[in-house]
Amino acid sequence: MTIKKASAAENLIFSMRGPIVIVFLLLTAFFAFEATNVQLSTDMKKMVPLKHEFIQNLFKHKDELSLGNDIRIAVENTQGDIFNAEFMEVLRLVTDEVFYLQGVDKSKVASLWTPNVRWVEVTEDGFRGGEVIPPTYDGSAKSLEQLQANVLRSGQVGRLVADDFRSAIVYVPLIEQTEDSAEKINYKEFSDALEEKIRQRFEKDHYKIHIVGFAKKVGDLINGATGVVLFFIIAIAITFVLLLIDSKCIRSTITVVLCSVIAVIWQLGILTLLGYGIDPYSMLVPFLVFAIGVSHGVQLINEFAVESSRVADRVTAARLTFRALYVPGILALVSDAIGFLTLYVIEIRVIQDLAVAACLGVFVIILTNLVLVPVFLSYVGVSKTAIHSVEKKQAGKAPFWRAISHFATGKAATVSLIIAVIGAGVGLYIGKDLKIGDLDPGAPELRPDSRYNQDDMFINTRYSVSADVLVVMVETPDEGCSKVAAMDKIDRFMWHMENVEGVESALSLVTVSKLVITGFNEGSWKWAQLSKVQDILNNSMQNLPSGLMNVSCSLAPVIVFLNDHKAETLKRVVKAVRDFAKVEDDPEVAKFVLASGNAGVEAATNQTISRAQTTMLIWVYGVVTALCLITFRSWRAVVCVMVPLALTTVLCNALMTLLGIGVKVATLPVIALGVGIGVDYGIYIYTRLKGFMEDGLSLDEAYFETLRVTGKAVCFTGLTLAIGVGTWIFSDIKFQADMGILLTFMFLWNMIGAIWLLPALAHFLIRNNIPKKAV
Amino acid sequence: MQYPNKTGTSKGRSAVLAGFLVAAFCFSPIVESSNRKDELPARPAIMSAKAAKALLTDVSVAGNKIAVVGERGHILTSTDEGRTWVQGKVPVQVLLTGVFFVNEQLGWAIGHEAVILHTRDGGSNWEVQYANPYKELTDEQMDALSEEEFNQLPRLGSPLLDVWFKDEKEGFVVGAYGMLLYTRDGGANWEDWSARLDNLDNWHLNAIGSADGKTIYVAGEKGLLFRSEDAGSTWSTLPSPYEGSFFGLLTGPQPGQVMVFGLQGNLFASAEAGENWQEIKSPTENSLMAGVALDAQNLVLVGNSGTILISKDGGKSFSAQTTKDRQAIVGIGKTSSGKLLMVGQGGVKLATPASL
Repeated sequence: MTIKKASAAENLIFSMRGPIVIVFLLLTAFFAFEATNVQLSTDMKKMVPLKHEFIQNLFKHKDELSLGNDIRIAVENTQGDIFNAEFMEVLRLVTDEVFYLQGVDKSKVASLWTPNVRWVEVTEDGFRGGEVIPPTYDGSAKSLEQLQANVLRSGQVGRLVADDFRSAIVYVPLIEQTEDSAEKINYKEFSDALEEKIRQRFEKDHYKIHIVGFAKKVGDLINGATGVVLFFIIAIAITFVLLLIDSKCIRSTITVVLCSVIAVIWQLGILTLLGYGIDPYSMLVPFLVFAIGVSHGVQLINEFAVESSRVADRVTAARLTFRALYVPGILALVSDAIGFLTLYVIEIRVIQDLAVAACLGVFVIILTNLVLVPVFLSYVGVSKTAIHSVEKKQAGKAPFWRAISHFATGKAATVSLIIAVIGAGVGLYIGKDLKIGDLDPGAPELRPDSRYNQDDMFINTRYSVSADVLVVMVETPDEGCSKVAAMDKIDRFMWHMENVEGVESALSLVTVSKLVITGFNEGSWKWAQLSKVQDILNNSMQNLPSGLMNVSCSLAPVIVFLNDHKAETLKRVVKAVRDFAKVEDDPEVAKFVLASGNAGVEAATNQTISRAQTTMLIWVYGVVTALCLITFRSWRAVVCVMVPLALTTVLCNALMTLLGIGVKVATLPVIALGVGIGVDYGIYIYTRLKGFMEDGLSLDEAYFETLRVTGKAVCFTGLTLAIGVGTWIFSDIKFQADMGILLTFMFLWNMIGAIWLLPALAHFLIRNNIPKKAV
Repeated sequence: MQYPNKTGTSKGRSAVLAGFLVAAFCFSPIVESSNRKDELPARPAIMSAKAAKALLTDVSVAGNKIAVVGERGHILTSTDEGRTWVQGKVPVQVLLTGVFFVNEQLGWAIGHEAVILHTRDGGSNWEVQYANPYKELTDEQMDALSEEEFNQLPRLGSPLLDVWFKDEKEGFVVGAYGMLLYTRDGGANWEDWSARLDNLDNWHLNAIGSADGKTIYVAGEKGLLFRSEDAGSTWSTLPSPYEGSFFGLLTGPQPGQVMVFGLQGNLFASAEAGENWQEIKSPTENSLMAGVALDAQNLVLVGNSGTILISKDGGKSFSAQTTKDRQAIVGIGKTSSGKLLMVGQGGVKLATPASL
């Protein structure tokens, strides 16, 4: 190989080694200080497609339409029903305790023990009612009997009391949070308080506490995300050990790990300075940055050991290392960064933030690894064992790589190609069932077997509540939401929706109005029809529960309860709403506008993602292909590098289908990250292969030499990347685990594809197409 | 939740009427030709797989045919003891409140907007025979009304509440605000016979029934009880044991036996054709809505909050049960094989007498 001359950059860097180390260390201290201020953000606004029509409608009506931010605490008696003095005492204590929690709207707390829970019945003289727990309650058998009768006629079965009478709910609404409310609820603290003051105190003997609600979910999410920090330490430890085994040199191992950690610190510090927080998605970036840093570091210490075996002087060896690797290193890192940037086309803030953070991280690595690692090495040097090991390998026969190099020969190449085609076919066949969106029931952010989702399941099966809610906003002129014509449309709309597959029931002011009209008529269900007389309708809505219309009566939500939040269900339901609106929308009377509720947000997210999916694939492959074309100036090279990546993408989709993972906010970036980083392997291998062939070697000999030089580094890179993200598989947060599984798969398969499939393709495409250089 | 006054008291009644007048700023003619079926908006009931699970209000059994009616113009028929249901084509979407089949082919259904629907093909297709839909009147039209017409204004759009046919030709329908309609020709023409009852205040008439086709009983709001002994031509007011609303009545099995029941589980029986009444100790405070006699000894009454009352001694005493879901039961019928078919808030429920 030709010896290049020292570049200006190299001369500059190595003439100022001392100042560089000092400046880097000072900067690191500064960024580390900044990074301690990093905020964990769980702002839901960032996780939704803000530009989507549904979300814009939602935000338009956000302040006038409170969907309620509440918590339900179910107290369960595992050995009997609720009608005994001991249980009622526990329920009373839980109810009392709830009043002391920060952020609770005390006036609206409801349980059997609060005076706002009453029974009503129709008598000859009008209505009669009272508190469910009689004022004379003393826990005696007689008063428990009275309590039981009151519960039955209170209509609270299915709401505050379970259908099986074995548990009762304390309903805890939280104080409204507006943009400028002085007191913001800290969800983590609130959730921890629930655990500490309610669950830990009262869940004992045969009593169980089940807690669900948005605030609890976010609290669990934050706690789960915080647990990921531990994974980072584990990833560092594993990487350290592997590096040590591989390099046989503690000095260079520490150098690489240290510089990679510095890269992470810089990345976090700069992000904080730029005003970005870190969220459960962008948490992935430090793992990636560390892993990418290490994988480039491996190349550097590998090269440094090789150079050290040739020259005695550490500084010269470091200079030669820098000289050999800074161009391909920068090229690979820039292509990574550009690959990540394509994620920016998806109009969901967390994904865009992820793109920015990853991009930034990669640029940081150029400084911390490509500059700092050689400088450090020029001071610390490398162990004798490491140099000996390198020398031995260069002289040896490398039987393993010899065996692998057969992939480039005729028969093996043909078989490989056939296997690849079959694999792609099977992958496409399985992957065609790939679903959009979240597929698991309950809170999809958390694992199906998490405590939260178990509690959610408990309450869903025993109470008349549904976790999956689509809210259709009915817009009317001012004071128009209770007009006969509007109510009639809403009534018919509800029945239209209830007849859609996947819809359980619908609720709106019409539901309440019919109930009250039935009540006006002595509880006779033969009167359960909306009146055509405006005054009767108005009367029937005098005491409408909050949230069913806004103050000016120009907006009434129809709450549609769904069986699940699968993408097909959401699609069907959204279409049904649109079908109805197309015929019935009348600006003078009522317009049916999508959408709010968790299902509304998911429908919008699904639509955005399924649109973005194709766009993103085109961008990623387009950009990476263009980079390859610019680098190699040959379509054959592009095919050799890109086809293994495409195969991995196809297989990844098939894997998602098999594992029941849908395309969602968390998994959409995986392909871009996988392809962006995965292309590195191909670039390294193809560059060397081409070089050896230009030197006059035949394809299989050239490939053998390539493997000898770079095979180990490529494998090691794949492994470190896989370890970095692989720890995520154990995250408490479901989508982090999904990202972990898929990225691990993509990093490993991209590596396998580069080593196994690339030479087979090369056999058919470039065997006789690389002109030998004139010697 | 706090409710305003119920409409059952005279105070409540006048309040509703006053509200009605305030609301009615543009009025139009009504009363003279009371059948205004042509003014009903054309909006056929939607065919729905959920119809048998939505609110249903009444059952009628004739031979092997079972018919049930309910909200949104739902009429369903079954010929397999209620296991499967076929929805009929109905031209209206209003809440239907009563159904009566005289045989497996001929049936009538009634409901809000004072509609009377008729089928000749066993419930597959229905046509409107009568209606009195809601309409707003202008001030001039209001001024032109006679006092009697004015008193009957609330009937516009209000529901008919029960239907009974003596045979294929002769039948009666009772309803809100004192409505009593009669046909002698299978519903081709309906006559307003409301005035034949002594009900000047136009209290709701909730139930009509007869065991023999000759002695007919009507029960209503305010403890109103009427009897006709000449197949409906003339009516007398019966002494009433109760001030509140009766929602249902049950005649037989012995001649002269009749039972009435209603608000708050109140329950009365007479062995002398309603001339005098005995209060029967009721095991429930939930309103009772409908009843059926399985045989001379076994009676079943049903009502709100899933209440089921059972008597095994011909109605002398009752014991209470409650369905698990506690949803209101509004109607009950006995199928040809002796099974019980209950309808209400959650649609159709089947039960065998032994399981009760």
